[in-house]
Parts: sequence; C-alpha cells; structure tokens
Amino acid sequence: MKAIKCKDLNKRFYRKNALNDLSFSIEENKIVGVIGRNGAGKTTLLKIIAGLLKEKSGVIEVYGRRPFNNLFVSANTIYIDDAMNFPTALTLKEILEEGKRFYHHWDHDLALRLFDYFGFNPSQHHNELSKGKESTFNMIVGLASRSPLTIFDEPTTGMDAAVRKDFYRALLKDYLAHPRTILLSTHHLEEMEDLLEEVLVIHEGSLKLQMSMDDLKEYGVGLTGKKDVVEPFLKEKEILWKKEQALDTCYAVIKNDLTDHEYQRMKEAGVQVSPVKANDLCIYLTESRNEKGSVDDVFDRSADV
Amino acid sequence: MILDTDGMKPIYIQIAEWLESEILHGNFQADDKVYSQYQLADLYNINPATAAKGLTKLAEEGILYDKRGLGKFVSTHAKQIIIDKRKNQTLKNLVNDLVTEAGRLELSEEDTIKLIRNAWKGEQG
Amino acid sequence: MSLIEVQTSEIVKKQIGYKWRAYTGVFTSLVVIQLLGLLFSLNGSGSMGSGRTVYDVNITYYTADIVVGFTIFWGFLTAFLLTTKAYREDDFAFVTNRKTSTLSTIVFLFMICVIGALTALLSGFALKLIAYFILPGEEMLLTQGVGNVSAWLLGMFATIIIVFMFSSLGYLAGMIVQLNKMLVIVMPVVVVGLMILLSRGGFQIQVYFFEFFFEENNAWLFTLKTLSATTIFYALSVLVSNRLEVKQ
Repeated sequence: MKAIKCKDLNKRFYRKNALNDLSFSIEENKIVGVIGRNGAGKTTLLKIIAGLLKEKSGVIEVYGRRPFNNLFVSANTIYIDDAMNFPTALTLKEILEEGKRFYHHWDHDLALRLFDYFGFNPSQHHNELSKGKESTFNMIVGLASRSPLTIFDEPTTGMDAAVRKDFYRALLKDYLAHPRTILLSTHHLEEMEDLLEEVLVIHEGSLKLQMSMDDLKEYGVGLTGKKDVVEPFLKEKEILWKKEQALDTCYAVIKNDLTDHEYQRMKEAGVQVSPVKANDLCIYLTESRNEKGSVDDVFDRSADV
Repeated sequence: MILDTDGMKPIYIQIAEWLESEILHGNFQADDKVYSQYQLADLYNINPATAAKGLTKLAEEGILYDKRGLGKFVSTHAKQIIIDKRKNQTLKNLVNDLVTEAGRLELSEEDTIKLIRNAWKGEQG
Repeated sequence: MSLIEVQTSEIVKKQIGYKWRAYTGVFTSLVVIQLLGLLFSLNGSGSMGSGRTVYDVNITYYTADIVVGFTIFWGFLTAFLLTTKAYREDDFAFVTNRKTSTLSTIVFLFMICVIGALTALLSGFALKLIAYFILPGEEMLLTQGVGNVSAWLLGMFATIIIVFMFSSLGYLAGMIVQLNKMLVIVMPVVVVGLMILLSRGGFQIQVYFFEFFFEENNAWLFTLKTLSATTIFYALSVLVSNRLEVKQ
C-alpha cells in the first residue's frame, strides 16, 4: 500500500509558487529523506502531507485520504518541526502524558527512558528549553508516538553532534523494531544518508529526483583532469555540474552510466574518476540556475570593481 | 569492521565483503544461517534495505542461499566461489591498477616485479 | 504500524480534557478579573441618600453586578484569545481536525463560563460579608439573599447563558480577525462607526441589543433568544474557521 501519493500538487503563498506540479508516491514503511535547499518547498510539502496546510490544486493522498482537516490522517500522522508549540502551562512530563492519551501506538516507556537518558527535568516547561534541548524533546515525542506516518522536519536543529548521533541511532533502532513510514528533511544528509532508504530531492518547488539512497550514491561520477582531455569524454554525456579549476583543469560530474570500456579509456587518458558523495550531488543538482553563479563570482565581481 | 562511509565502495558492497571475509575465516560454515538484514542494520547503523542489498548480492553470486521464511544460509561451495571471485576480479583489478600507476611513474616491468617480490617477502617475514 | 480509525466523539472528549489541563491561564485571568470587580464593587453599585435636619439616611447597595459585568467581558476576551495562532497551534499539537477542535473549544468555553458565572454570583455573598465586617455602616440589611433559592438559581442560569453568549461573540470576532490581521483594526472601527451612524439616524443599536436580551421578562423567551444568538455566533465561527490553515 502507498503511504503517500501526490499528483500535480500545487501550492501558492502570496502569489508565489511554493510547489509546482509535484508528483510522486512513497511506499509504506520506508525511511525517506526529503532533501532540498532552504526555501525549496520541503516544509510546505511536509505540512500539506500532515494536513496542516491546504493544497491549491492537484491530488494529495495519505493512506488513500486527503489529509487537510482529516481526523484519520491526523490520528495516524505526527509532524515534528523545530517550531513545535506545546501549551506553556504543561510540564514536559505532562506533555508526554497528553501524547499518550492521543496516540494509540504511543510507547510511554520508551518516552520516559529517552527522557531520562537525555537528562530532562520532568517539571520543566517546553518554552524554557534551549533550542537543542527543545529539538531533542520534540524528537522524543515523534519517536514515542509510533505514528504510522512520522514526519520530522529539520529535527536536529540546535542539537550537538553527540545528540544527533544518538537521535539517528534511536530512530533506526525503533524503526527496526517497529517499521513505519518516516519522512525526514534535513541539512545534514551526509550524517544520516546511511539511515535512508529513499530520497526525494526537491528544487524550487519541483521534484528533481526520487530514487533509492543506494542508487543516489552511485548516481554521479566525478571526472578531474586537464580541460582538453576531459572535455571530449563529456560529449554525449549528461553533465550534472562542471567547474573549471586552476591550471586548465576541470571537474565535471556526469551521470554514472560509464561502461567498463569507457572507464578504462578515461583512466588511460589520465582522467581521475571519483565517486560523488550523495550530499555533494544534491548540492550540484539543486544549484540555482540564475545568473548569480557561485559564491566565488560574488568575490570575483567585487574584485573587478 | 568499521564502515568506510567516505570511500569509493557502496555500503552494501562493504557489507557483502565483510560477510565474505567472515566465511573465508571460517566464522560461518556451510549451511550456517548468516545475519538477517535487520541484524546487519543494527550492527552497522544502516538502513535495512541497504543491508538486504548486500545479502541479495551474495545470494545472486551463489554464496548464500535462501530458505523461505527462515533467512539466508551459507551455501556449500561458498568459500570456493569467494576465492575464485577475488582471484579473478579483485586481485586482477588491483594488479591492473598497479601496472597503470607503475607506467605513470615510468617504472620498468622488472622494477615493478621486484617491488612485488620485496613486498611478498616482507609479508611472509 | 497498523492504521487507526478514530471517532470524532472520542477525540473531542480527549481534547476537552487536554484543554482543561493546558489552558489553566484562563482561570488565573478569571480570578484576577473577578477580584478587580470585587474591588470596584466595594464602592457600592448604587446608592441613594436623603438628609434632613435630624436624620441623615445614606443607602448603599452592594451587589455582584460589577463582578458579573467583568466576567462577561472575561468570557468575551478568553474566547477571543483562544482563536489566536498560539492557542490553535497548541490545539493541533496532537490529534485533531477543525471539527473536533471547535467542538471541544465550545464545550470548554461553556465549562469555564459556568465556573465564571458561579464564582461571580458567589462573590455577591463575599461582597456582602466584606461590607458587613469591614466597611463603616450602621445598619446592614441583607436583601434577597439566600432566601429565595429559585430566583437565585434563575439568576445563576441567566448569568451562565449570558457569559456564554458573549464568549460566542468573542470567538466569532477572534476567528474573523484570524482571517486577516488588518481586521483587528477594521472590525472595531466598522462596528463603532455603524453604531454612531445608526444612532444619528435615531436608531441606537446598542440600546436595542440590551432591550432585546435583558429586558425580556419571560424567562423562556430570554433563554431562547440568548441560546439562538449563541448558536448563530458559533456556527458563523465554524464557517470562518474552515477557511483557515493551521500552520503557515
């Protein structure tokens, strides 16, 4: 069964397109990464899936139902972001107890053990927490809810490296014991890429790519060498990214469809063939196609003046 | 084994190679049950789908076989298959790389073989 | 994880409990506003005096009228505040949809209106006690006190539904404002402007409003009028709220 299905999904904010004809579907019980630059539309998409925002047009279905204002979707989904709003009158412990009342699959024991492990004080209030602690607490709520569809939007904001590592580990452990559909959006793809089964790359409100994480890691291949040596090899290849470097060398990322023969010829010609990390690849794929170029150009231009 | 997450090799291949080494070292005998994708995922902190891909690769090569509902087991000829594979592919590629690099450094064939001999002695001694 | 089907009634019940525990701030504001009302009442809500040569008679009434008035205002304001973004997001922190959210808020508002009305009326007794013990006065006459229970209960009931009606008005006003922040300025301007315009034309709507509700001598008609108005206001709020998104 499909957990999420969307077709030609559109959303506009103040006459600006946030999502453009987005179409994809996600199978049940996968951990899926939603990757994109700031403002690419990740949060908008996740909130529409969680039923918190209303789509402008197109079809969006979560377990076969339209999520907006839907009690069934709400009961089976949890949306965790870094701006969670919990009542200030309740202590952290009381918030967990409310979670227990509302979510059928809630594991209170797990919630309390994580709560202890991360050193929370039961009588503290949510609005008194530091950013990192707040994210950690929200993560506990997200994990303990065991919602069939669990959505984490930038869950690691403010967490230090050790806590992030604990979070990834806890997420995986709980997922292995209780498989469910988990959507994660993140800026730290390199840290959690091994956790993900699939990725959605969103760029300027459109779907750039959807594939398994293992495939994404082998999707691109980097060629480095003298410009005049590398360039002939780039003909008839799909160039994903290209950058000229010092001493007439260049670095080009192409789609990894090289045959063994081509690979050998490149090596013999002195072209360095290297893998492209998933994180870098995503940055290349989502490079804005405007006139602004790279951040280097900002400095080059100011030097001209 | 610690996974080399930055390296060339995809994780699932590293998993497969680790299992191969375990079989070569005799830690898994023929008809032993190997780790499930979930155990591997837990051990190496990776998505179970990636672990499954490593297991599937070994099954396709005849190193493991499937028992429906029970998991994956080491096949009778697993050890031989792994040795053959490593000889014909892994080692051959390594030698090719060695020769290419030697050529780039303008080493003669003789010098290269000498290098290998020395290394061999060092290894044995 | 298996999918869960939930009943609206089940979630509404949970939401009422949640709001009861989470929105304790409304009780704090109730206490503050009623104490304030009490303070103002110590001046007496009405007085008359007559002085001749020998006797000087000065009568001061101590009633809970001001406290009730303040409570009505509190009902309006609380309902208004419950529609703001912070409260709505608290609302949507757990399982809910608009229907359960609105229904549970209305039930919650009714519950606190009952409490507010009850404490307001009880403060009338407190006031008389305070007046008796603290304030200088020669003679204390307790009029229409606990003597007439049925009249007191009727007053109680009337107070509840009036506070509740004003909460529905506050809720509607709040929802309208949530549509567009500009309305927080525009709406009072329009309402007051209309009142002024109409009164120039000889029609004082606020007077009519008070006559319509508060000078109704028939208890049944009064109940009918008040509850109908409440229902209309809440129904309009639901219509408005359906246009809102939760998080932007």
